[in-house]
Amino acid sequence: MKLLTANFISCAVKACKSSSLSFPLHFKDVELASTSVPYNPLLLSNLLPRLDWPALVTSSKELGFTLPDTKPELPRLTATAAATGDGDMNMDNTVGEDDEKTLKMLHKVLMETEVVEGKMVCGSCGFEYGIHQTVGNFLLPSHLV
Amino acid sequence: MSRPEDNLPPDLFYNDTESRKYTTSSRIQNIQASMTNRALELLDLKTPSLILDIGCGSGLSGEILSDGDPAHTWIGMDISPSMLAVALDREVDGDLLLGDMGQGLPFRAGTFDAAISISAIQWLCNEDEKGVDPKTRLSRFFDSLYACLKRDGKAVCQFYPRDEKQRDMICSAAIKAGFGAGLLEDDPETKNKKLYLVLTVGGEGNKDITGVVRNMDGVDVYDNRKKLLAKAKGEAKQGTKAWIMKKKEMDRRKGKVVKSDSKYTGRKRNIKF
Repeated sequence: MKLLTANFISCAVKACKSSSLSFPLHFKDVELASTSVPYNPLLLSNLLPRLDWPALVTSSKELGFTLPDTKPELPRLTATAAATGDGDMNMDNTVGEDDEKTLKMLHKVLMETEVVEGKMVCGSCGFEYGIHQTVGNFLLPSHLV
Repeated sequence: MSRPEDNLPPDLFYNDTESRKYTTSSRIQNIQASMTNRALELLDLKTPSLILDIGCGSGLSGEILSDGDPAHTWIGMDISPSMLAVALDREVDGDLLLGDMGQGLPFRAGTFDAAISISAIQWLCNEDEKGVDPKTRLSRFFDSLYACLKRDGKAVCQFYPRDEKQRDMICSAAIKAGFGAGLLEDDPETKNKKLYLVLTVGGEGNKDITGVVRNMDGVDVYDNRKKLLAKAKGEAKQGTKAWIMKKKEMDRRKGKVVKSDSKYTGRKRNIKF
C-alpha cells in the first residue's frame, strides 16, 4: 500500500460514508519498505490538486516522518513542457530548483514509500483493514456492506 | 464454450493453479494485451494519469498501462487472493488491493483520471450466494465508480455477457449511475467478438458519448437514443383522441364490448353537463 493510494482510500463501510472521520484511515503496526519507482514529475503535478494534504500529513506522521503543514504550490506542468525533454523528462528549463526539490520529496513520499505489513483503522467505525505483503484487504463481511 | 462464471464465484475459481494457468497462457496474454491496448486507445489519455484497474488479476493489463507512452500509474483491485499473489510474484508496478467491486469501491470522490476493467464486470451478474442480488451489486459498483472518477473522466470496461439480457442489465445499471454510456463491439458476428462498455462522466468534452470514437477508423455509430426519441414521438399522447381510438381498437381486437365511434368520441363534456 503506497501512501498515494492511502490518500485516496476511505472506509468502505456503508454507515461511514457520511462520516468525516472515515478518511483518512489510520495506520497501525506498520512495517515500511522503500521501492524505487521511475520519477514522473508530470504525473505528480497532475495529482497534486487532488491530494488531500492534511490527510497526507496525518498519515505520514503515523509512519514516522514529517511534511510541511501547507500544501506546496507548484506551477502546473504541461505535456508540451515535458515533451521538450523528449521522453526522458528533462525538466530543467521549466521547473525551478525549489520546485524540483518539492517534486522529488513528493515522489519519495507518495510513490516510493510502501507499507508492507500492518493495519489501517477507520476513525469512525473502528474497522481494521489488514495489509499483508503490500496488499490491502478491503473485503467486507456482508453485514457491513 | 464453457464460461468460468458458471462454475464458481471468482475468488474460489481463480485459485493458485487456475491463476498460474491464466497468467502463463500465451493465448490469454495476447488477448488481454490487445484488449488493454484497445481500451487505452478509447480512453485517449495524453498525460500520465492515475488509473483504476478493476479486476486487475495478475496484472496482465496493468503492465501495459505502466509500459505505455505516456506511462500511467495504476491501482489494481481484485477479489482473488491467488491472482494477486501471482501479481506480487511478477512484481507489477501498480498498487494492489484485495476487494470486491460488488461491495462498492473504497475510494474518495474524484480520485481517478480513468478506469479500465478487462473481462471482469460480467462476474457481477453472478448469484453465487443466497441473498446476493446482481442488480444491487451492479448499482453499488457503478455508483461508486461514478463517484471516484473525476469530472471529464472515462472508463472502459471490456466484458463477456452471457446473453443480451445480461448485457442490457449491465448497460442500464451504468446509465442509471449517471454515466454517458456506449457499447463498442469489435469483430461483430464472429467468435472473437469483444464488447467494450465506454463510460463518460459529465463535463465539457464528454457531452456526447459518440465523440469518443469520432476520430477512429472503421467504427460505425448506431445511435439508439434517436430511435427511442422517435418512438416516443410516434406514440399518441395519453388523453388525446388518437390515443382513445387506439385503445378502443385494441379492446375491440381482444373481443371486448366497446362503444362504437362517433363524432363525440374523445370530446370534452359541455360545461353545462
